[in-house]
Amino acid sequence: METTARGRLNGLSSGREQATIAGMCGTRLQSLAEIAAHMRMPLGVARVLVADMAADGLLAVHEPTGIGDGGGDLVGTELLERVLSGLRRL
Amino acid sequence: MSIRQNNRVTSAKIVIAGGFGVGKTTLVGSVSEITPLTTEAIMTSASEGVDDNDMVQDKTTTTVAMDFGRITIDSDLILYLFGTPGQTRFWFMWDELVRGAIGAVVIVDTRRLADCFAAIDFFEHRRLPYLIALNCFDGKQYHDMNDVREALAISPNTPIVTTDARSRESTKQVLITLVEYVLTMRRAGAGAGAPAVGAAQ
Repeated sequence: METTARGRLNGLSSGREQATIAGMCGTRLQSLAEIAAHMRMPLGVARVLVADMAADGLLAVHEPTGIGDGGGDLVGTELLERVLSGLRRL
Repeated sequence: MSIRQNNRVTSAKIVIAGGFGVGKTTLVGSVSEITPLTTEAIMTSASEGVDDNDMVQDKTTTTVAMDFGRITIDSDLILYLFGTPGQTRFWFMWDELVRGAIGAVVIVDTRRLADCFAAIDFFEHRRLPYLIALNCFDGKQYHDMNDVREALAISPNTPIVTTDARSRESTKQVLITLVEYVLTMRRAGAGAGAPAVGAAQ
């Protein structure tokens, strides 16, 4: 997820956790697991905080592209090819 | 759900499984661009005083750590590696972990072959493509690959590779082999009847 423009403005006025999350996701896209790990909180707690922030428009949540997630075979294959060439470039 | 507004960023994930102490964390760490992070997935001491623990006697010990790493493939594509919790009593978490995953690496220590049976069963059942990576501790391979294949009773198509989990290059090759395998299966249509885990949510 990443912090929206609104999230950047409002981050400081909301709770401490929200402000920290907004700060983390402002500089770089973060996964839920990363947020939980950095904040030393259980995943479930992070999920609730993030869901609330998303509902308030403070965070933009990008769903992971699961293969077969309704995007169709083309999306999955294209994603795999991108991952593959990315790994080869490492 | 995969297509989002404006600058769409996607992520993919690969699950790293295997028995306890087989090298999952090492493998994730060898290729991740961040120091593998550990997250606690369920109730921890942080929940004391918040959750009512009185009714649940064993809750004080339910701290599950799982580690994960990250590889930025592109500015808009991130690959996450998730190491599964090694202890089998945390299997209930795996469903969530594998949801939407592109595939899994099952790390095997051939001296403790049986440790990986549960992981293999799990992925077979969920029809998540996986490969077997024999972690060569001390640079030694203790068993012949065909013997391992037979012992694990896995399909002839499932790739078995050797790896040194400490080596970035070796880990990279394992991941490449996995993604190639998944692609080949898809192109062959073998996976057509096998919806990825994400479809089942």
